[in-house]
Amino acid sequence: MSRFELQLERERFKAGETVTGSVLVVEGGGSRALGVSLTYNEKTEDFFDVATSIDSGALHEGDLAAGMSFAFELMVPIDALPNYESEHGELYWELDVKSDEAGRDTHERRRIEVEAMPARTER
Amino acid sequence: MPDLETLAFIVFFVAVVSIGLSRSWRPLDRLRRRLTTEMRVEAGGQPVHRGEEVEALVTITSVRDLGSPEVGVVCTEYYDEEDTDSEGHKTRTTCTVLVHESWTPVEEIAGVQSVRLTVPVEAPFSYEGDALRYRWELVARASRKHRLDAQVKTPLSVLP
Repeated sequence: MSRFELQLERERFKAGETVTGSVLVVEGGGSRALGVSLTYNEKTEDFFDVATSIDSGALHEGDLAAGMSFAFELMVPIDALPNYESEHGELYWELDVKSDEAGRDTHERRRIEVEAMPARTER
Repeated sequence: MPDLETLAFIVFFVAVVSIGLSRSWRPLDRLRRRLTTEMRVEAGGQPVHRGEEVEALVTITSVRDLGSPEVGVVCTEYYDEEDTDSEGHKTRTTCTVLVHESWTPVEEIAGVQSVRLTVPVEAPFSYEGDALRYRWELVARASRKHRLDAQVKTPLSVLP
């Protein structure tokens, strides 16, 4: 089982902007593929669903060694909804680094703030 | 021994109270809307963004028996949860909770009235998900003597 550190230039984005960062391998291990996805999730106390997912594709294929680093870029959709939390539910954007491994996959997740496109003044 | 009319009233009263006191007031609201013919509400322009105003057009065709009419902007959260019965069977149920409501009185006169209502900037935006939904509505309501209150509504689309 590997261990990763997700490095981001910043953690707040506007719809249409690009999330740039890198995945640093802290502990290596066996892996079939490494990728990052940007997901918009909905969560209640008992249920979880991914409403939107944008994948980087494979950043690397094969085993991972400590010290390796992989850069990625993912665009926040132009029509992205913002994060929102209410009494019984939550909507939020999250980066999910996934190493596809024999057995249980390794994930490193980080929430980011996304701001929707500003309202147009004329209608 | 109560007469048939009294018995019918008691049965009706118990049924109405039981429905009304269930998890949400929606069953009763549905009945209110079905029995309301003298009011109508429409949105002047939509979608609206959070922080903006929406124009509610309230039409009252008859003021007979209608008291204290008002119009409001209402947001309801629908969220799924898992219920487990005594035998351990799990079922998925949808619960509702009122997230936002604000009401403005309208005049007790027949005709069309325009009222501007604000959608708060910190309120949720319209969202239709799998386990979570935020639904906005414009609602007009009024009290009625010896009858269920009048209520009508129309969906409202709220953007972030």
